[in-house]
Amino acid sequence: MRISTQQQYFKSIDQMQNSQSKLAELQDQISTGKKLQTPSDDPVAAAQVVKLERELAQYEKYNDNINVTERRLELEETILDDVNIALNRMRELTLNAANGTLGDQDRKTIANEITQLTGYVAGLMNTQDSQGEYLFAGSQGTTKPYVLENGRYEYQGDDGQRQIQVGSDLYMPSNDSGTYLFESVDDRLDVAFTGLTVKNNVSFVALEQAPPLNAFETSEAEVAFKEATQGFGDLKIEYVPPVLPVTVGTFDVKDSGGNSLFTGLSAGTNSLYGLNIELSEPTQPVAPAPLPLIPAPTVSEQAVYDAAVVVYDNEVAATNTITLTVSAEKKNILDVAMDLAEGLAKPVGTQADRDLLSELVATSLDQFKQASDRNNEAVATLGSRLSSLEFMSSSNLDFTLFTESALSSLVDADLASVISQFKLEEATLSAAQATFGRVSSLSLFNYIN
Amino acid sequence: MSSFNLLNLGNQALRSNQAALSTVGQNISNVNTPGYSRQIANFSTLPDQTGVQVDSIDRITNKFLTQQLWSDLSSYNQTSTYADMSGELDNLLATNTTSVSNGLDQYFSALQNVVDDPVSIPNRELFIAEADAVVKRFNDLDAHIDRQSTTINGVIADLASQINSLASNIAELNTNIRTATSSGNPANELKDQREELTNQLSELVGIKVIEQGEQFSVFVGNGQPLVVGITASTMQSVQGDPDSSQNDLALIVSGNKVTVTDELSGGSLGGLLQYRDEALNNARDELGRMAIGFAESMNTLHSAGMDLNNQLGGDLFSDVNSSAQQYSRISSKSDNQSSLRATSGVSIQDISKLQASDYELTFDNDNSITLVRNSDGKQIRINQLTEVQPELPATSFATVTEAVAAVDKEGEFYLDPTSKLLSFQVDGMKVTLKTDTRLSKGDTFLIQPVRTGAEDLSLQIKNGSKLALASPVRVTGDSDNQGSGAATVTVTKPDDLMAGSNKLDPPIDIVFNNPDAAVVGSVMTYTVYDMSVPSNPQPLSSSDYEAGKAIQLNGYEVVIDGLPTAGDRFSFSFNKDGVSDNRNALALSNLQQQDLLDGGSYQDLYGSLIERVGTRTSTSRITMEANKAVLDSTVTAKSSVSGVNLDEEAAKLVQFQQAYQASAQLIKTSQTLFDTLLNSI
Repeated sequence: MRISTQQQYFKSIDQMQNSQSKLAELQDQISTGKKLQTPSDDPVAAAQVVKLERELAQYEKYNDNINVTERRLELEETILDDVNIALNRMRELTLNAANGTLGDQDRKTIANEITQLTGYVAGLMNTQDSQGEYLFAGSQGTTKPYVLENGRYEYQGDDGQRQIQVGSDLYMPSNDSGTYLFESVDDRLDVAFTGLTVKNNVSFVALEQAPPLNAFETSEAEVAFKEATQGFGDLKIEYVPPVLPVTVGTFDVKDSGGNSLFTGLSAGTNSLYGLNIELSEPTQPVAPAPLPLIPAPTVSEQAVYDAAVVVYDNEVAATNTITLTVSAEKKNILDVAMDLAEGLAKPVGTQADRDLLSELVATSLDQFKQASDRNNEAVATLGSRLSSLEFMSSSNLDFTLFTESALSSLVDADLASVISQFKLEEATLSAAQATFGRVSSLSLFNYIN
Repeated sequence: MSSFNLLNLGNQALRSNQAALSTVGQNISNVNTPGYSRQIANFSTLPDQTGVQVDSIDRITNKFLTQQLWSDLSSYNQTSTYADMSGELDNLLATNTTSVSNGLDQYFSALQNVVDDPVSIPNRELFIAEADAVVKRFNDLDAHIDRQSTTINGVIADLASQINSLASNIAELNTNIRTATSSGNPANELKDQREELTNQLSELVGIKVIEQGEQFSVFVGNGQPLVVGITASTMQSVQGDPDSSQNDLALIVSGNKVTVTDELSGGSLGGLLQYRDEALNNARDELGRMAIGFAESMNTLHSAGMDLNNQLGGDLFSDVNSSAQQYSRISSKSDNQSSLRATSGVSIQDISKLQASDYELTFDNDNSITLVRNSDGKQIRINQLTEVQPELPATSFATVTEAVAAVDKEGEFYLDPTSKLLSFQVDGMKVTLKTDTRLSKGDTFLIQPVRTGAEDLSLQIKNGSKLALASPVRVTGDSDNQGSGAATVTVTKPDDLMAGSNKLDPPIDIVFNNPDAAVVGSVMTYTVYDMSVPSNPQPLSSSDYEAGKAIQLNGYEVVIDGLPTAGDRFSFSFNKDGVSDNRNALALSNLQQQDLLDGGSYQDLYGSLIERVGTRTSTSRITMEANKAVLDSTVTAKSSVSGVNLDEEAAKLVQFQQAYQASAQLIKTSQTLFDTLLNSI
């Protein structure tokens, strides 16, 4: 093949340039240690790098979150410990107060100490973190959770709980609300009637028995009621209108699903599983059911019926239901202590006073125990959260290492192989340069004289 | 035979070899001249032993190789321009300082800080700063991409003027060659020049050359004449239509302007146009789609949250459907019969269906309206979508506005030729066209739903306390609850939630009831109570409980999971002063992982954009290498035919020199003979 002189030069230059650009590329890889310089070097890897880097950033963040959460939980744990110590002291004092040999003054001293302790515990419960956020106010971090109102502490927060992301699909609560931690003492069962107002103000009446005949006569009755109605949901009392000639209606009691519990209760005081309620006929009689027309009604029956129809349409008679909600009121430990202190401060004179005092001590001890149980439960939960965080932290570390090594295999250059490639390319270039020198010096003109 | 004959012979031989020697000299002196084809002198014998003459001096060339060279030059330059431009974009996307993905990582990391501690004002301000930074990244990257587009406009204009000057030079050479050849001059050098100019032209744009006699005719695109004989047409860079941001190329042929942008290929120009068409616009669309998806999903959640002042959050980023933006997404072709009203527009309805593409809408007649998705050429016939129907019992829409509002689902349309109105929803966007006159045949509109998405992104909230990190709904499970049920709330209509003076009115309780034992297969039910008067709840509704099924309430929905038991009670009220609540912040943070857009999460989209651009760049580099190899072999083949070899010329120099010396000897011999004759007399 004919070779043109110009082409000879161009070709050599081209080849040397190729070698040089390869050398430059390899040099880049060696000096940065990365083989993925631009996405076009390995587009698929470049897309994965975006993903892996995102994961790394997330794991790093999860670890930060774990640290923050650990700090918060540990702070909470410390405070709960302090509260528990105070509670134990209060129980001790209560036991002391039960000692019959103590005089009024001694009890007053004990009451004073309990009052002091109460203030201390209230202070703990109103703890703020470094940002000024109240720890135990639920979601209302800028609201002081325990405020003294009329001699009793009222909880101002809610039961909000903050979840922190500590793993790709794991959220950890970083606080507990005062509702859960401190509003832990069962108070009396509270009976609420709803649905008293029905159409056209036609209603019947159910009332909680007023003292001395309480809705529940004893606390044992409360327990019995709770056990008996477990799983029933809200009870419903239905008025069953009378069918003439009967003129007095009856009452049925059903559970929340409409399953019958009691039927045909009559007005007056009734006991439902130990709950005493007073049922009475509606203030105005509900329209009676239609009269059986055969045999023909007596004149007086017809008159009663007509009068009823005039006053009430049939719709009114449909259902007349009262819903009965029985729930335990919760009381916070501060109020338990305040009640106790108040009771202890009273002088004891009569036997009745002594009975009241010993009942107060018994109740208080029971309530302190409940508070303490909740405290222990909460501390145990905290402990399990903290250990979960530890586990999560170490598995996040594993993931991070794994991701980093995956990333490195995509991005980092294998220096040994890159350097040997560089050597090879270097040799090629110097060979090309040497050949160029030789070829260009060959010319026929050198031999023509 | 006369002794003069010998003198004549010598004389002719001397002149012929001299001519051959000067041809060698010409070859040697032009050894490095681009486009030069080596020449040889053609000898022929004169009859009756009358000697030799130089018939012609020919240039050695090969037409096929020349044609091949032009086409290879075009291909090579196209791919090399493409690879250069694409490499620039490739670098831009992956650099840490411009990468949107890195920006998003930092954004979500700052978001986690406020999740950890929503009360902290410094954390909130940091998040605002990071949100601002991510907006800047979107804006900057978009501006970089847009700058390429501006650069391409400038380069196109430059190339057009270069093409014009080459074309007019070729036409001029055509004239000169015609004159030269008609007077018997071979015009070898002029032809070389013309070929070289054509080489240069083919580097700029793909051409087809037809040689008629001694004349070159050059055509571009699908046979549009650039040079015909002695006349050259002018190529002009003109404002794009309907997309005025991207210049078109027009060819002026005998006074008529024809747009040839879509037909040109090959050469640097072809490379630029191809890059702009398939890579640049796509990258910008993809980035815009990400920005719109990001802003829209963040805004939706943020508007459903509550800030430190007990107010709903509103938009965190700029509204993607502001009326100015809606209108800017649609443009009409300048020669349309109908013109758009300012109330026309494109609004983004469903980011999960949105595509990174622009669309061309062509009106043929009322029964044939076609929408073409430019990214993949998919055709959608508008009138084959579902026409919206008024809600029964009405048989027609009361107002046009109502009809347009009724188009709210994918694949619905409404066309009212008399009201000059067309509205349809496709690919997550709702297009509404309102025109001054009725649409007529051939009217074409360009729809760019996402093109400027990244440019338009801006941060709305500048004050940390206005960040809505809390949920406006407080959920309280009763402390007596026996079951393991847990309620979560999702705000569906923030406006309904906050209507009225009492926010979240009325407060709601949901209470679970036992199944009815009398009915076989009955399940647990729940009752929703209005708790406006806490002592006297009013039952609102009652239904069977189905775990995980949303219970719709006023402006929000509730899902109760787990296993509630009868008597369990959940209360929902306004989350006043819930400053420590981070539920909405968590929801915002969870968006990072969600496959919100067609193709994955925000960063998945960015990853696939990088992958696509990277693949295009590396493919174009490979193609460029291949084209280079082809070009090199053609250049070698051509130069092996036409190129000068100095050794060859050296040999010829010796060859013709010797012949010249011998010819001179002939003259000398002739003289000696003549002298001998004279002396003998």
